[in-house]
Amino acid sequence: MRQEGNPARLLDPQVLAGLTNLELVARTVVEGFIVGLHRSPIFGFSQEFAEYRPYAEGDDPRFIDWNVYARTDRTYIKRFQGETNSHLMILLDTSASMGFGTTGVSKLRYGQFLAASLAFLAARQHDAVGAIVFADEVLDYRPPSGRHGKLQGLLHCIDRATAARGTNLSKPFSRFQEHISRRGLVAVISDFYCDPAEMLERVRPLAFQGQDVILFQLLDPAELQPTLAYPTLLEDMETGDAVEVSPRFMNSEYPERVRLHINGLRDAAKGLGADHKLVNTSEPLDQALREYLIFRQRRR
Amino acid sequence: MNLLAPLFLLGLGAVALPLWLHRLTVQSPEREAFSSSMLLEASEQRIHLRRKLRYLLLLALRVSLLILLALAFAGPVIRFPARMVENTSTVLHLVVIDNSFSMQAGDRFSKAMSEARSVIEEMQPGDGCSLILAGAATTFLADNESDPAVLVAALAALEPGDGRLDLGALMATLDGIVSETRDDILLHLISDFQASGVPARFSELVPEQDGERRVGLRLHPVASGLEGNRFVSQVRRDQGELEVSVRSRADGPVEVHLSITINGENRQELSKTQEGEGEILFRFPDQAFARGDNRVTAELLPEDAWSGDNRYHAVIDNSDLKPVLLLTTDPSSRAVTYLETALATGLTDYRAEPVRIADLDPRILQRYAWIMIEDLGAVNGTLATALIGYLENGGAILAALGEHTLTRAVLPVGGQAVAASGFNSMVTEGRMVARIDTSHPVLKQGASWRNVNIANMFVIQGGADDRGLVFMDNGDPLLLEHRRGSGRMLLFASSLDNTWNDLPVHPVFVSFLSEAGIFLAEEDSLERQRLAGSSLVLQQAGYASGQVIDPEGHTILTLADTRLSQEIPLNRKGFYQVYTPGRERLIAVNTDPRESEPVIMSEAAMQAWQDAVTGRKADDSAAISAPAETADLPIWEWILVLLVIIALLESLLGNAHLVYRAGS
Repeated sequence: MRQEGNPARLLDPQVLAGLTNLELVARTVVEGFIVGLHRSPIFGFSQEFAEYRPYAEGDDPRFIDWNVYARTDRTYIKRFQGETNSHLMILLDTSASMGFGTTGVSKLRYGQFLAASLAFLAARQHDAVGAIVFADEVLDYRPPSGRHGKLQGLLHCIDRATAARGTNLSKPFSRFQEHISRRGLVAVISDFYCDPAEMLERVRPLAFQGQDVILFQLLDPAELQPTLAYPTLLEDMETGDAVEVSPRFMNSEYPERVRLHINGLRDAAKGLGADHKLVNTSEPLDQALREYLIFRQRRR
Repeated sequence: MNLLAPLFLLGLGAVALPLWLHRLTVQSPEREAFSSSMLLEASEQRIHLRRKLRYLLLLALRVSLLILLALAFAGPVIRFPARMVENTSTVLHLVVIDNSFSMQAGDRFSKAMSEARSVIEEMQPGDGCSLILAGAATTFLADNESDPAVLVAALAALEPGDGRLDLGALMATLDGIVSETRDDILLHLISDFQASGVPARFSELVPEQDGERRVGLRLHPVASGLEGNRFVSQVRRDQGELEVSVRSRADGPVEVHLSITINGENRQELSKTQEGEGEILFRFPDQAFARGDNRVTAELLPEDAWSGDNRYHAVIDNSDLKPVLLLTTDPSSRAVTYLETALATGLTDYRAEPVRIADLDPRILQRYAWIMIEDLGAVNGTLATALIGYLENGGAILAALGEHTLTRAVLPVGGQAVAASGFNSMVTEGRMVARIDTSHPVLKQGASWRNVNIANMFVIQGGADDRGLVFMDNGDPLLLEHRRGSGRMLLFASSLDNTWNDLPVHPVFVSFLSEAGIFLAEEDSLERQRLAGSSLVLQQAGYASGQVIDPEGHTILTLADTRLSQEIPLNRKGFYQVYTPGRERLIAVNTDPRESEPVIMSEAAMQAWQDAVTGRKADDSAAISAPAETADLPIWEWILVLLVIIALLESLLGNAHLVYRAGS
């Protein structure tokens, strides 16, 4: 089967896991996603021509339409649909809990795919892209940049992240506030094993700052619907605490608790005007990317 | 705490088993990593914590179970000050007091009494004590008595004896006592520990132990240093002269005076200078002795610390030769001549008194200690009956066969069958003596019998009461011993007239008659010189065994006892008068000269002895040989109780785990 014939397969995380180069993963995901998008009757893509506007000082000369200049002797900037001249900040959680995975792809790896794809997609739309990799500390920080060379560094930053340590949302959000004052998009990729109230507390300043926040909550299928056959001692990957659970609890009560937790997060996000997207790591990435585009388009 | 069997502690290694098993369980595949426990049930955490605690408790119980098991087998004891322990482990103190002759020297015996009282005072509550007096015999004064007052009272009025203490024999006796006792035993030997009392093999000093109890040994020597001694070692008679030997075990020249007393009459006194160690001889010539037994006493002066052995008693027999009835058909026969001559030549105490069988009044048989019969076949029925009665009443007969036996198919008196009658019963071929029972008293010189030529002899078939002593090369008995009642008869299966054999003219005939006389008259049991501690055996002969009067003039046997066979200990020095049927004898009893040897065991030897006993179980004997300042309280019983409780708890807890898993 040719790849072009089934672009959805290219977005399958298990297939992507076979690719070692994260840039290649991102390119593959985005290109496949765009191919699928063109076939969609609902969504257009920003690469389609939107309008011309006069060149103003500060605009990138690369976007001057030289053909128009030759005919009219005036400089115009060619603008495309979806182009907002905005920037995207990706916050990737690399805490130990993100290392959990039962489908062959851990939540972190899935998050890396997603972050890289978002970065690639944003770059393709000429948005400046930055990233903060965090756990209980800010592990890496890349300020937003629209340069192609910076994208390579950003992808490398995302690629080398490993799951370890605990989770602390306060530090990455504080760091974000310290360095980013311009309005833009903020995509937080995490499993959000935290108190919704605490999350609300951390995101609220960003919302007040005018940032548009989307929360990608990555969860493994085994977290959403665990299946246990016998009593099992579950060890918390972050704290090391062991809890022995019965199949009855895990198979019936625990999914309900997860659902309530997700709803709590969603409600909290909604209260701040942020978006919340639950991502099942067994599903292809296109749904997440599609969610991002809808989110972006809505914020324009 | 002290452990009696520390090797059992190796069993503690088994503790690794539950630890390993529990570790395996902890590492079970049921333990899985999970992203976060944030949303897990809190109660589940509590359950896990509770179960983990129970799991650890179960592990602790199992480990404790094995530790206690190993400890129980190791037999731990807790050592307390003795006053804090109330009769927890009893010790039997075997206090053996030497009362042999050597303990008469100086203040040895009073020291021994003090030592014994000290041991009694040091006894712990609950301990038992057996007091044993050891000399020529071993006597219990108190058996496992725990009342000190009774024990001290048992020590009163004791005094040393005249017997000898053989430490090897003593330990063999104590060995039997030890083996019959279940308590721990602490042997206290209170003695002067003479070197002459030590057995040739040192191992005989060490009692056997079976591992069930602890045996300790404490030696209490009461003799210190080397004390000199002189003593009379022997009195001999050489015709009319008396020779007395005096032995010295002391240094330096000393003027020695020696006097002799015969039958209570002080006869003579001589003086000589004795130079250091050695032996000197005193001669007392021209001594007149009374007829019969003479009491001779040699007394040495000056007195020394060992005064008891300065006096020596001897019996000088100046009796006439005793008659031995010789029954014959012809008093002038060659056999009679040979027998009379051999008895006289052998310097025995007997002389033959030939009597024609036809002239014999059987009532006189009881006068003779033993009688001889030239030809048993000549004995008629009446005489045979009398002889049988004589034998059954303890008489003795030496009989030969002759021509009169040719007509007999069964021998009179003994009832032995003759193989054939007439001359057919005779073996006329030359035969050789092949087998001799030299263990028999009459055949001490038996090897010479092989040189005896036997031309003719009767083939006799002995009965159950007969014992063959000399056999021919074809297995026929030449000399038989026949027992009947308490009497005995030696039967020679040929003649004594030098016609059918050459025994009468052979030198062995003289020694044979001498030994036969001693054997048949039982003189061996009435030896005149005895050592204190030896026994006198009185065989029951007829209606009586006899009576004995000790040196103090007391009769030893009751009237009833005189009718039974007796073994009488001769424990005191002096003269014993022994009355047996038809005889009166004197026996002189002196101390064993080994008891007069002043050399004592070295301290190193005594230490080696104690170590040999304590070396069997160094820890144990150290525990019981030490002065009882501490006492051990065994706690294995309590450990067993704890073990049972923990085993019960472990079962309940283990079962609870099973219930939990089944319900989950």
